[in-house]
Amino acid sequence: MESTLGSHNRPSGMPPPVIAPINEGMWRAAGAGRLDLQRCRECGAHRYPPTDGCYRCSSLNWEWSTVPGTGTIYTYIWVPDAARSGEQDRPVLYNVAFVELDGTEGDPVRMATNVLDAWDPDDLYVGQAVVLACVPLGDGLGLPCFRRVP
Amino acid sequence: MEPAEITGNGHVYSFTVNYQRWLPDLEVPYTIVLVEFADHPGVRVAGRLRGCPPEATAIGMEVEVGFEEGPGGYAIPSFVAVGTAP
Amino acid sequence: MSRADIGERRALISGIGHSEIGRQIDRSGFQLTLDAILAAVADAGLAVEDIDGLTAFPPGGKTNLPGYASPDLSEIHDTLRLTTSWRGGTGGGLPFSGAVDAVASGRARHVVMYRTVKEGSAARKAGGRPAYGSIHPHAEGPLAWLLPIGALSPVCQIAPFAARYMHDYGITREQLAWIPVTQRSHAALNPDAVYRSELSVDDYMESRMISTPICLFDCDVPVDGSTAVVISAAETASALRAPVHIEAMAGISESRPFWDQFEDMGRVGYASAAAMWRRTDLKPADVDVAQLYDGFTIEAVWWLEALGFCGTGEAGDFVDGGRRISLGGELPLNTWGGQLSGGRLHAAFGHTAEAVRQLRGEAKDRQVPGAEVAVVTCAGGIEGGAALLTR
Repeated sequence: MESTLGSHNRPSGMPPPVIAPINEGMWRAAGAGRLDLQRCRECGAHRYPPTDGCYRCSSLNWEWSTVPGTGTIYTYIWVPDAARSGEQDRPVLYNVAFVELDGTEGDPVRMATNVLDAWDPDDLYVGQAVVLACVPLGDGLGLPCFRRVP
Repeated sequence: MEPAEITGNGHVYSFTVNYQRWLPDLEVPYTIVLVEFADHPGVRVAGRLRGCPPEATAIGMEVEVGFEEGPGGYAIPSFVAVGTAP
Repeated sequence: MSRADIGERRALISGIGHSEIGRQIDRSGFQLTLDAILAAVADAGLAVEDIDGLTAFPPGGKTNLPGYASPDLSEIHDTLRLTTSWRGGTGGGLPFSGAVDAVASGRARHVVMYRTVKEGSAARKAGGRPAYGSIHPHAEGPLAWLLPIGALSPVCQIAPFAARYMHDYGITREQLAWIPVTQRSHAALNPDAVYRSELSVDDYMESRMISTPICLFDCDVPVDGSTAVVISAAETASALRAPVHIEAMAGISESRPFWDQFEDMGRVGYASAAAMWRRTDLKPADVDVAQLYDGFTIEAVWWLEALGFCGTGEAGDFVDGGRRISLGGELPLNTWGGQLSGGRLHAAFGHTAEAVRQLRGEAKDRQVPGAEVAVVTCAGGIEGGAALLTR
């Protein structure tokens, strides 16, 4: 299945993200193969998705901070992709997984993402280790996704 | 409900002459009129006024229904002061 | 009507606050909002932890006018780390009426409401006030009826009301000039107002037309700024620094809810005003100070007549010469300068804040001595509302 559909299991036809000052740094880091998250300069809390203010101390003073890019699966779902399924008996599925990111233990960050090399329901389990695998978006920007750690 | 055709002239309930160049290529001034119809009470239609200098517009004046081409090829309501050339 | 039926008597305006206000402020709407909220909460004598309700105007969603939308409710909620039992909602009439109902019903104790504009910066960036449809160039929804005929800004919708009113009652521009002229004299006493230099009737008469009969000085001035109010349950009064009572409040949406279909464009706001007066024993003569919505001069004119400060068609005489509506007169109007000179804080937030200051005796150089009753109004017609506040 992988060879005919490509090496990335991502939903087809998804629009690219709207780039804004609050999130550009994250897409640019992913384009360079890094996982950057907002970190509050006042209290050090990481946060996601990108917002203006810190949920922990209300400060608006933040910076981009690189985290290891590894994590574990908290939960996941499987979604049939109609566009790629076509007339097949068994639908092509993509996954949406919530990954708890290493390096954010004091202020846990969970990121919704796709695990690119998981194609079947048996391929994922809660607690599974995953590692960053970015998808190029063009113009030096990337989308942070993940692969399973064998 | 069904569409009903408005026949007969209308009269100006109120109007405004816009002078502000809201968009770079907007030609100003132009007049927006709110028109009522004696034969169709309760109906009021907003549209542009043609064929009449802005300063000659007056509440109560009689207008004919016309249409001008609008975006997408659709016609939009437009009115012409009675007694003046369109 | 028994006291129990008048829910607004179970609510207080406990706090008012605002951010820096200016033509162009180099801070985000989000930052300005936090400034205003923290100021309002402190003004109430409360802490952020006491806040259990949050709402904003406009209610949310994307708008097609740059600088108009307030920051997202959930992001503000997140950054203030609130736990709330009531969120969102504006109700009918003055925007804080939903918050009033929330505390009056016991759903929440202290509700913060904010209104943030970045229209000053948006106007600077666009080289003038942006047109409707500036964000997405599509005429959708209500814009489908406005854009194709050239009604590219609210002024084109309001101007026909002013034209009809002046026609019906023989009012002149020289008379109505006294509203912006007088309010400018009040703004001179307000350090937070954006226009403070003197405005004369001649200046007004010679100013350029925007959309007839509305001229430049009939239009409110776009600004960057955030204003916040705290609405608290009446039983919390002993914990509050200087709460103000809500005597009566109403917002009746009358006629068809489209600006060009309003039945009688010479008479606006009458149903809201009448409904408000029915909820109180107070009368127009009891009002010490009036903060009447002035997005355009004509809106303040509507309310002077609708509220019964003068008869229909008599506002021209009422304001002529400016004596009655000046500080020291029988009905000081928009003592902060209003939106015409103080800045378009929008949705009657500036008017509400000034009414509260006046009733507390905190209006400094523009204080109406012994003010005990204030009236505040918002918009007119389909979005209109009025409230009577007391010390």
